[in-house]
Amino acid sequence: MRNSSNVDSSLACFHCGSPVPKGSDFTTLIQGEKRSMCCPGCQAVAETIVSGGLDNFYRHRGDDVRSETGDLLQLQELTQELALYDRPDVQKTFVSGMESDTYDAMLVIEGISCAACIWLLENHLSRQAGVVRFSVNLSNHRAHLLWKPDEVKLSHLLAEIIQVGYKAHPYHPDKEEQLLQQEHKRSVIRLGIAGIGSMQAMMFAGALYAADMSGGMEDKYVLLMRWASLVVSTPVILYAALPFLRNALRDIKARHLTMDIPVSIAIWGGYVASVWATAFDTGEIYFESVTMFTFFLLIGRFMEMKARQRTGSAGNALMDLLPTSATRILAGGTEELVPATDLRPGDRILIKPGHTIPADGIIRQGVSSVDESALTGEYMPLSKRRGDKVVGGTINVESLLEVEVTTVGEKSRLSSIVRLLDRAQTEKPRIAQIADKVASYFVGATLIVAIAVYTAWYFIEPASAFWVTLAVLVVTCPCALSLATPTALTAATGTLRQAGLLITRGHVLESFSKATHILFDKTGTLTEGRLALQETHPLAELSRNELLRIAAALEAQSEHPIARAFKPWWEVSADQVEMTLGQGIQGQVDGQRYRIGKPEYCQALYQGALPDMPDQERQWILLANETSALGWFALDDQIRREAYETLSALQKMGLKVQMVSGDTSPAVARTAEKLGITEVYSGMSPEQKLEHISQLQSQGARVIMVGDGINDIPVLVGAQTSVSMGAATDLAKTNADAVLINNHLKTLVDGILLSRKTERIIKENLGLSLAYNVIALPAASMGMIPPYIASIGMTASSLVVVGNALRLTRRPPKAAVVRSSSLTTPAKAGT
Amino acid sequence: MPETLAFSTALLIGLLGSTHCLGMCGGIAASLGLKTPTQSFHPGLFLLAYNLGRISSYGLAGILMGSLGAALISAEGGLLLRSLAGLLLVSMGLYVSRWWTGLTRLESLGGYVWRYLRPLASRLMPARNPLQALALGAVWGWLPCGLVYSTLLWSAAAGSPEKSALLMLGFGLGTLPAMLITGVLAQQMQQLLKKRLTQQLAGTTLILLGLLTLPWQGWLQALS
Repeated sequence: MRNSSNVDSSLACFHCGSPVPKGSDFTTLIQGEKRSMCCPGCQAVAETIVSGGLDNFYRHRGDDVRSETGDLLQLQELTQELALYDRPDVQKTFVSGMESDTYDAMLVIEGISCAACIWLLENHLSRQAGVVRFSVNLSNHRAHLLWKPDEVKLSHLLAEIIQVGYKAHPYHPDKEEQLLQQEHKRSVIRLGIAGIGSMQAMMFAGALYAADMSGGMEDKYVLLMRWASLVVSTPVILYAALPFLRNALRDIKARHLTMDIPVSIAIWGGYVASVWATAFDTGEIYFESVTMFTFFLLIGRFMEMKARQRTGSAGNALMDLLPTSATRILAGGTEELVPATDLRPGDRILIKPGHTIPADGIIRQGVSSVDESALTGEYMPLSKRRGDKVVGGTINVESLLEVEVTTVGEKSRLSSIVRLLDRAQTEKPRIAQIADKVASYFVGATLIVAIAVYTAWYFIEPASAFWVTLAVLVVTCPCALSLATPTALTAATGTLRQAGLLITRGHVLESFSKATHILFDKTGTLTEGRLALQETHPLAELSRNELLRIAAALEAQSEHPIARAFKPWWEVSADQVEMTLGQGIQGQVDGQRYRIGKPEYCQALYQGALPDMPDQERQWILLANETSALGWFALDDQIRREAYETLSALQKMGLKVQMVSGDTSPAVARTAEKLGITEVYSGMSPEQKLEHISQLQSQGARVIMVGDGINDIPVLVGAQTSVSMGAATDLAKTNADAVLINNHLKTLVDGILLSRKTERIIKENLGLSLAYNVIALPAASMGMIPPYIASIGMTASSLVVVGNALRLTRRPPKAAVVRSSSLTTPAKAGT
Repeated sequence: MPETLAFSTALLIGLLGSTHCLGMCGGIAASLGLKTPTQSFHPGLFLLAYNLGRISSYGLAGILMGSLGAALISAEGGLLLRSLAGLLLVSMGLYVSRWWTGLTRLESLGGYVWRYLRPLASRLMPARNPLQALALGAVWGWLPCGLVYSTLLWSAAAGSPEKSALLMLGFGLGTLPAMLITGVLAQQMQQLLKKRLTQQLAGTTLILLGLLTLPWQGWLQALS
């Protein structure tokens, strides 16, 4: 076998070395090469080995696994960072057992792609002196390391991991996730036990059934099979089905009817009756039915948990985004590497390209682009320059940035998002409450029906009474009913967060889908909320570009919103700059003195007549030199990209769109006209806005209010549903029910479409589960459904419901209008 | 006529047939036996657990097929089943001797089943503890293997689940020596067992067994 691949590769099976039969075509792709196999068996084995990630098996075939050397350069660079992990104060956060001589840490390993990686890592690390144990989990890429700190340093072990080609950093589990993990682990074990047990019980039942059909088996074998069924079913009932019993007892104590009660009655009743039947060799056994029922129920629960945790972990995954170390610049200009948790507001930090930004802050030096996709769902990196804000957890893409830290820890944007998401998920929307209530009535009804069925059958045919009742209890298990809403809501919330719409309240999905009116604030919502140059109007012989160059030079050192509008044309900076607050700027460009700003201020420089403003609708500023006025610049707030598409999409969806603005300027009407809004309320004070909303709501309208989240907080609170734009919002204090984290209005359309779809799916789910029960219950009561078929039916109905809900995890459908528009940028089209 | 559907025959089939499995599953056994990632378990324990899992899967399959066989068996059905069993043994012999590899078609059928089990097996490799090895073995038992499949069909002719299971267990035990040895002496054994002569000898014996299994008397009665 050793040399099979190179003796005669055209004829020998790559896997086993046997000759390959002529004319056969069994091949497997191994390490990028197509290899011939002699038979489907070898092919299957080889595919299993490859898909199990054990290609190394073929490379080494019995030799020892060789460690692959990592990039040494990278290693040297990292050594300094790794040394951080030897500091006791750093270790304190992720190492346990520090009082003993063996330390215990969880690490996250990056770069694991397959089981072979784990094999390699475990082999390599376990050989290191001082390592007590090292095991890696394939699915979550976490490693558990036990080592003796007096024999080996943690940094050395981390370096060893890098040396074999992976990257390791400490894992800080929060309490909740630890619990989730335990829960997950236990359910997998339960599922496994129930799965194996029920399969075995099915086998025996099948054999007994077949024997029964073909004229009987010897009695001693029948007895043996019955006892064997008992043996394989017992762990399923005593361990795997225990949570149902525990919940049922808890709920009975709390006088609360839940589905765990009929479930427990069915499982334990069936089991006890079967044990009795086995022990005294009398009557039917139902081991296969009760174990299958348990197994299927556990599958349903497991899937629900998975769906729940998917969004839950979306939150936790966000926290994982933050790096553990940061480069801080000290007063003298020297750099030091510190744990990210040591950062304080006011610290200056350096962020290398490709690195994650460790805290929220403001750029003090450098120009780069930042990838915020993890937070906003926006896949194109955004360009950022001096004065722009950056958010911890996003990635610096292009070049070195120097950032001043503004917020850390709890108050940071990332923590706020996670907290808001948690809040939304703990609140039960009305529809979920109703579903719970219905389910609880349903359980009560089921129990009554079960008793009635048992009594009736006891008089008709006592022998069948038990299994018919069992079937009734199993078939009506309202799992589907209680799964219908929560899974759909969780799935939708998670999907929207990834798309850039953060839902912070439980009722949002419901009220989104029912909304009749959607009100927009103007400044900062429909518009960008910052001034942009709209028009240049030369008055002298200077060209537009020349004018802009001079203007940009003058404005270069100003932080005023007007100055930002000129940034794109900046080439040089003016000398001898003087700023007059509220008036303008004076400075020298190419040896000439200029002024830019209010017309009167500029007029004072050249002492001539004031030229006419091109129009009265916009804000115009003048540029002048010492002899004459040179040109006008029109500045206006930019309408957001996609605003028009969004509004027309919303209108097409049947929503009444209104604009309410505090602004009195003609800009309001112009914006409305451009956006196709007919109902415009301008010059409204916050009180008036609030009154307007309450009036609409008292007329039966369901209102969504979209604002920038700064100036309109009271208004937002007054509306049934409020949405604020993410960029401006202080997430730590937000009252909005939803936040457009990515600032794309169009996501609102996605959100409303998805909320409608969610409502539809919830209704479908409730309908499906009710319809199922309506059909199944009478059939089971009449004794037409044996218990094991009942458990299949029950599972099928829950799986259909969960599967239906998971349709919501697909990305929201694109708004129909987008297709008809050529204005969408490639960035958006790509998402 | 000697009863060919016996435990001893099954043992023999396993023993003879295993000249074939060596290359295919031997490597896996070796990797289980030699490359235990953690040192806390004896390598032999892995091998044993793995084989135990594999053989019990065969037994399970035996119960299944046996039940099916038992349900089918009647005067004509039994004759048919037995004829099939004999023919399968003959083709197994041809397969092991590599004179005719028609059985691969049967294997291809099993490939469909395996497609679903494969991820499970992949996940269990490499086995980290004997329990995982046991599970791996249990999954491995369902590998598309002409040998196992034809033995299974052959065992169905026994006519009752427990008899079929017993036969399959016998077959499994028969494959044990080859599998256990490869785990430890992989290369040396491979050389010997891969010799053409060994294969042809084993194949011929299997063919003879197959011919013996064929219900000659039954056919004569059916014809007359």
